[in-house]
Amino acid sequence: MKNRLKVLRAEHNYTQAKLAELLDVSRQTINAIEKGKFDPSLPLAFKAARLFNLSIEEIFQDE
Amino acid sequence: MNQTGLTFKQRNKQNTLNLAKWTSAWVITLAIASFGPHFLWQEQAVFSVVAILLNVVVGIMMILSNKRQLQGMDELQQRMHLNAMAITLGASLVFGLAYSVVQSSGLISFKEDISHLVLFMGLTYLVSLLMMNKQLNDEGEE
Repeated sequence: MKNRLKVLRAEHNYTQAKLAELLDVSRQTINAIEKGKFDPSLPLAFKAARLFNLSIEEIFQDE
Repeated sequence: MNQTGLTFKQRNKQNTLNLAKWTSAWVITLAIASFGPHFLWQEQAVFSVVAILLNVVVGIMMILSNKRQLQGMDELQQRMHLNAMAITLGASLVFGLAYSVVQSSGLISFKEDISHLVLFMGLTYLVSLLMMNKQLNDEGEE
């Protein structure tokens, strides 16, 4: 699954640690999602969508 | 932050510390139950039973604390631990039974002990986690 998390994070001036804190996960998880090594669960995807005020599809795309 | 008012990091740290405390207490009560009969209470059965019961109770608290720590992890960490547990369980079963067959066929004469199994399981778990960590690898922030 592709995602725009890294771009959105940069647009909002968040570090990985800050984004991890806002999403209540570890920084390693943010890093793994950004690199496409880990697909988040639906609740986490919803959390990210709410944080960036976007729909899930605008952040995560099926490859 | 969640309903506990703690951040993920703080919650994780608190759960890990809690687990460390119960694990230390369990190791201490295990040592008391193991060495007490000989060094502390000269083989008196009542004291031995109390020491073993105490060890089991503290062990249950350690298990619950471990469960709480796992539940406090995020989904990636939980998945990694689940994989490590699966590898550990499988490896213990496969190598444990293979060892049993090798020993019963008289190919080796090594005297095994339950601590060897505990050591094997601990190392398998640790190596599995390290390998998964390496795979995902935290190459740092980009």
